[in-house]
Amino acid sequence: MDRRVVVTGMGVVSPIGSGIKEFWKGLVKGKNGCQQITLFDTSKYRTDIAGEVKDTSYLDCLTAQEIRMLYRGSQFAVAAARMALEDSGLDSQQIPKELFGTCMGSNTPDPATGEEIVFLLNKDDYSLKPRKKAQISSLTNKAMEVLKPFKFKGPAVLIPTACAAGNYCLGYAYDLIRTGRADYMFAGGADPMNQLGYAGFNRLRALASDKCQPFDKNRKGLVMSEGAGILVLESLDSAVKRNAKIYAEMKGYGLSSESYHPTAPHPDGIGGVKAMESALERASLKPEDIDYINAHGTGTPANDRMESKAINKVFGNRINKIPVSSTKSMVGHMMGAASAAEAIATCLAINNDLIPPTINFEEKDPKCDIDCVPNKARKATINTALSNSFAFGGNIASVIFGKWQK
Amino acid sequence: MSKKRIVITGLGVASSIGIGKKDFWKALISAKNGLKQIKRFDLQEIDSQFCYEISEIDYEKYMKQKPSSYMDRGSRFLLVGTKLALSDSSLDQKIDELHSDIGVVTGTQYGCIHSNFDFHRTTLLKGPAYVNPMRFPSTLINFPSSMVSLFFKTDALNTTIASGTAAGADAVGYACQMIKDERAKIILASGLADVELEDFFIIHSQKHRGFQLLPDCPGKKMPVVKPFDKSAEGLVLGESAAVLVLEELDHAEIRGANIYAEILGYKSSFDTDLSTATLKDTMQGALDDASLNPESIDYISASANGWLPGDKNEAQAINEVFANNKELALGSIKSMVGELCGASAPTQTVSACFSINKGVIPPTLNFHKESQAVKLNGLISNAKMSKKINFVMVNSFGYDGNNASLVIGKYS
Repeated sequence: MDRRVVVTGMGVVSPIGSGIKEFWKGLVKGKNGCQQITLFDTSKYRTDIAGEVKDTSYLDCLTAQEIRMLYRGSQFAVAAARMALEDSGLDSQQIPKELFGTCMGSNTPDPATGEEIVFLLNKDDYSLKPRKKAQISSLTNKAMEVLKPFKFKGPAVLIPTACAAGNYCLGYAYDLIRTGRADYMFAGGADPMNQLGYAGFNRLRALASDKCQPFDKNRKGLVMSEGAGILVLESLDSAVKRNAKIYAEMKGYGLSSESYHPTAPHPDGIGGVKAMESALERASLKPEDIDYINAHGTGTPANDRMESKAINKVFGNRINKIPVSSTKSMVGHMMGAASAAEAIATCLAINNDLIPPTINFEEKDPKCDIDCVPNKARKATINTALSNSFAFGGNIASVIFGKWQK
Repeated sequence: MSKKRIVITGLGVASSIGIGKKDFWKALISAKNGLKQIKRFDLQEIDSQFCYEISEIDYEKYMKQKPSSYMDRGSRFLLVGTKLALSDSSLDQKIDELHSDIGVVTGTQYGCIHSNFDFHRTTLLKGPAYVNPMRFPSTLINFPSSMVSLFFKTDALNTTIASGTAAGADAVGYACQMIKDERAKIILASGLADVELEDFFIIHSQKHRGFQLLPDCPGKKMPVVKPFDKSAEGLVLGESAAVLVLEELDHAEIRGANIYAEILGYKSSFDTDLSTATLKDTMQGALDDASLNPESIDYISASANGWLPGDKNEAQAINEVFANNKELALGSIKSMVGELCGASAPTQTVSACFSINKGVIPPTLNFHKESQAVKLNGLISNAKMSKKINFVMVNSFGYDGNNASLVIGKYS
């Protein structure tokens, strides 16, 4: 018999604040986390804004050794994992180690390590003496990093499905718990700000020059950002038994693949439609059961038009009754961590019956026919919410969370 | 609730010892060694200069068209492997009809690491204006998998699993779950490893933390890869793209597909301490998943790659789990194809399918009974062996801490 899966802990490092309290406060207030880049010289780029993690309080969650040894992206990941575990109230000493696994999303091999290797190879320096050399072994696998501090021995899998990675990871973790292959999972994603990605989006002319304006008629593009989001998933039985705080139940997820173009989404959003429909079907829900949609909403002209179209297709005449907001307007696009942070925002929205807004919204785009909760958070009863994510290569995933009631 | 069974109905492989399943198998049983000195890039500064390399692949011959300019070497291997697997399972003519039922799941350690570094290098050393935007997607680890889904127009799902050296096994495990949950009827589950300068750099760097993986090859002496041998000096990286067509049994039977074997069990774990206990749990977990006892396994396709600490650990764990299995045979094909990282388990599985169907176990090159590192419980030989095989365990135990085991059985 399949087990039910719930969210019992969450940790986040983001440009609008670290820890779920700060994060939620920022989301509700409509805080803009995107500012001028300080981490690298932007003179050779067309734009110069990004969502950087400037509040260093996440470092309090790390040991001195971790601060010394880990690269930025892994620091985010480990800090978010510690926050999530503490939030869940689980005692890492008491848990059977082999039953706790992780699935993490990330875009590329660690860009900071990559940067170091690029410079070393350029100098023909094969001696590799950087102080952080120990982390080379986990160049890609941030999943390993988040299990190490706790000595957990469950599966440690990285799913690098680009900007949709967080949702894929939630799906993976959900399946492991549902089928009894694991009892507890960290699921989420982490990515640091880096020039590799910034250069790519810069060259594709996909970056906004001033702010992220999802669904706005004059939106210019996405704003790249960084951070980590990690959720602790657990079986409902286990959570109830230990009287844990339950943020939400994960009801199901849908995947699809759009074999259309390496970077562009299908203009009709056929993959998005399929992923949302599949998520609804697997959660045994109808479109009218959804009270809120956390959109992928990157702020690029193509994505928001396509996503609005896809949502319209799935939700039909109810479309104007379903609030659809993009938290990327505040947080920016956290790459591999984006959909994990959005899942956290979605769970918090369910918990607080409050919908975070789409900020920077000025003029309605007739091609984005949705209610995007402009600029101000909105009170509403949210029993069930859906979160979308789309990525390069046509990797698409939608996840559904619901209020858990005894 | 009915439990869905998952079978392998197609095999495609591009490896250092042969392209296509037939050449690959012929090479394995004739003990062909794929080791070559690398000429593609300069390794002067690194003590190890060999790799089980795929000699340039005739892409156009297989794909009937030129590769896109932005398609990197690894993706070409994977596309050729996929094409071979699709035609092997007689699916190539049916994709139009089945596209929404077919998914792609790829296991790889880094994706196209060279494309990633190249893009990064241009950005940092020449300037961001000089990067080629068409190459941006290839910096992502999911690029090869996306190329497969884009090229063959498969729409069910497309996921990349990057759990280090166990990625291929985890990809197969994930694919099985996707079929069981009816997210797809057929999945092209694969493993991909291409070896680039950066791979050598990364592995070489381990030496500086007292963790030598690569053998030293002074004076460009060709290394000898010796799985389970006490004088083993290290692993040698290899290249491979191995693609398994995994299919739901009913679907395979209705379309009259040829069935190579059935996937019966899977277990994944992680342990940086590389402890024997975790490897035992992993193998036992895969057996439990398959509802089999250790005595039913006829052959273990071992993970052993010539890196002594890892090989000893695996030997010890096998001895303990399979202590009462008096008929056990084992071997490591990595002595012929190298350490394939993310491509290991799918490549071993292609070989295991042949072993099940032909009753032959490929040799473990350079293995000598008198110098084994740990006295092994099980028959292992540097010549091919004949044996009736119903159940095979495929191990994928990594030096990075990621482990997974698969159990594959004769279909009946």
